[in-house]
Amino acid sequence: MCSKFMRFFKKDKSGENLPSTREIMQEIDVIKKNFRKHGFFLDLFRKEVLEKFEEKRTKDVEHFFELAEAFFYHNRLLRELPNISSSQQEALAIVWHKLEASLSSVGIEIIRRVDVDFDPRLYEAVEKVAEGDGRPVVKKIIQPGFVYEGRVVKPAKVIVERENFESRE
Amino acid sequence: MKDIICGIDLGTTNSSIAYLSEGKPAAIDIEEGSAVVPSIVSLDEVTGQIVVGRYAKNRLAAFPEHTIKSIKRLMGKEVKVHLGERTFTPEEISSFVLKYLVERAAEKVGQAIRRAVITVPAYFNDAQRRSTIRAGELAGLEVSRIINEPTAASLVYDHVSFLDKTDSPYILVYDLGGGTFDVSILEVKGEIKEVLASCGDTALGGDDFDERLVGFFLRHMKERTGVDFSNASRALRVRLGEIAEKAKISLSDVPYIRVTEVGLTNVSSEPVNLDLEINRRDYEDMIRDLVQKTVEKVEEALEEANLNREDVGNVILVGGATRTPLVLETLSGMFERPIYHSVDPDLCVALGASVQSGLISGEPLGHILLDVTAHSLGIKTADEIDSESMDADYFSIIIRRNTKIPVRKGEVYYSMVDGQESVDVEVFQGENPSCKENTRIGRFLFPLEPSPARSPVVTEFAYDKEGIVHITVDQKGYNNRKEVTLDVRKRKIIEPGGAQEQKILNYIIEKSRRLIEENSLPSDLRKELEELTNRYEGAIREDEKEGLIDEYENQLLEKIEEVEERLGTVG
Repeated sequence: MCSKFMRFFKKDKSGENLPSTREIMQEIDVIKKNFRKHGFFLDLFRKEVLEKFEEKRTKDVEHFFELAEAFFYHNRLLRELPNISSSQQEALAIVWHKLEASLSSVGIEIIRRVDVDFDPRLYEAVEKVAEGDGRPVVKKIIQPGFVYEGRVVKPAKVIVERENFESRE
Repeated sequence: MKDIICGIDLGTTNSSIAYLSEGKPAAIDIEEGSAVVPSIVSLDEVTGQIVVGRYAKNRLAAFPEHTIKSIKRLMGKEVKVHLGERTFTPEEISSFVLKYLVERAAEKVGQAIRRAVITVPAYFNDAQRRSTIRAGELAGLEVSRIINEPTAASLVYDHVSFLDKTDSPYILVYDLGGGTFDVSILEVKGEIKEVLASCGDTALGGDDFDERLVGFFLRHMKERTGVDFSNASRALRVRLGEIAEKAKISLSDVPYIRVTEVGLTNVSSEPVNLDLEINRRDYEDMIRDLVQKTVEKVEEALEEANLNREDVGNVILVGGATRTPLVLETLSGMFERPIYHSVDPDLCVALGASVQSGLISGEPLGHILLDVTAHSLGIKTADEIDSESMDADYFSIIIRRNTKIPVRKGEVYYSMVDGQESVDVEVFQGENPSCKENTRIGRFLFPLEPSPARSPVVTEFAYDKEGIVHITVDQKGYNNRKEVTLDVRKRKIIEPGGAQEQKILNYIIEKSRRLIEENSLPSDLRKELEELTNRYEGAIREDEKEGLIDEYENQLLEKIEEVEERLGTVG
């Protein structure tokens, strides 16, 4: 803020240096102006802080999504290897557990479950294998989805299977 | 509950709805914060209910026999559409989309919606238009009017406050969506806008841009592994498509991106990853022929309308794919006039339909105040040399005129000689390819680390709403960056620490300009406020004495306070 305040005169014993009414009014005007400008400053500051906060929050969440996605794909390829040992599988499960707990602490839930009923709120089917009349089941996750603070921000892209009703029974 | 008329863009792939909020068009968020809704309908055979939008899209591959998309292509035809065991007409299917939009919109705005203006492509025949009206009626709407999509887009721009007026009555509307391209030429005849020509390509759009990137990734994977993935599984194609779309969006703003993706597939038990850099120029080379195809259609439309390029007064961009810088650049080169692209290209048609609804109902329409760049902003480069002074004289644009702010855009430039010691960064604003004809608004030196000729230097402009541009210059690969702040209004570099003070001054001006646009402001107050704002802004720009600026500022602040009290907007 660059506005300058005028200086009040000190009152001496004789009262000769008392500021005039005009000077006091001028001083009040300066103070009023500074209040007004301060209001603008606060307004702008509030706007900027809110925008920065929202921007940071969105970026932070996106970083989590990226990390979770990267681990999802890495995990899947490792599990597809022919000679993966049970302890390696166990290690992957432990990392998943820790990652999901961390995501949950910031309000994120990853959608990656398979062999569950297809729910169009959480999953987007991009392919269907096996024609049948039964309820479709999620067979493979092509891309994981995310729920953030209870809201589906991205449904998981999946391959579904519709078995015959009788065979599922 | 008050009854309102809304405007609906009933699209082939997506639809949207807008209404007039205090005289200004506003799109309504329908699904998870998005105003854009997939035009897809599905029958849930378990509940017997019709579902629409994102939910229906998610069901498409799982229940193809119960789900339908792109119903617009069947409008006006005597066909039956089967969803499971039930049969519908195209009008009925469209009515489900309309009903969904209207019901969700009414919930959001808390007002009943019984009437609507619906848009259709300019090439729709009478049967298709009647079919659209019928769809509206089946949705329980009174269709106040059917208007052409390009007409709707141009209606929005009629009410945008910053636009220059042109003498030409001809408007070209370039609409490049995800899967289709349309170009139309309108002639303004008083209050009427007549479509003179309309043509396009029903199989060309932004999705084709993604496909080119997917092809690039597949070639890269083949180079690395020796395996041809061109017949890749659907799963791999879907994933590559997602990566391509993200890359395309990023490349609209920055000159380079790094794509890092883990585990696309396995080859001999080894994961195939993507870790590569793509620069915008290479990407533009991939899609150049596609953009050229649209140019040919534009030429075709001009020929059909019996017009030359110079006859066109305004060029308006519609459709998400027009965010690709190459599109804007190509059209700017073609028409040598400002291209209008500030209104969200995905919502422009629905917003225009809502403007039409306001015109029908007699609702007072205010000016649409958009925060846009008044001039193109860029730097001087040596791509052209002034023949008299032999100095560099090419104006390389980084942010184009009328771009919505805040915005962040970057470009890459190259050093000229081996061991070049520095770059003289001169920032200009204007529209002429020659810097001499534009206005210089700042200049600073950027020292370079020793490097060979043609070393890339990335220059990024981040333009905020207060007219401050944060410039970052980065000598790529040398950990050498410089950040400078520039005040566009004052046309000068701001010293470190001075940006905040300058922002406040600019914010005062912005706030005042917003108040001037308030419909309910009495005209005498508006005039006074406008005069004080112009005087204050002029004094800042001309770097007048501090005392004078202070005095003008004081008067302006008092007036703003008075206006706010009058409008009851304080606090």
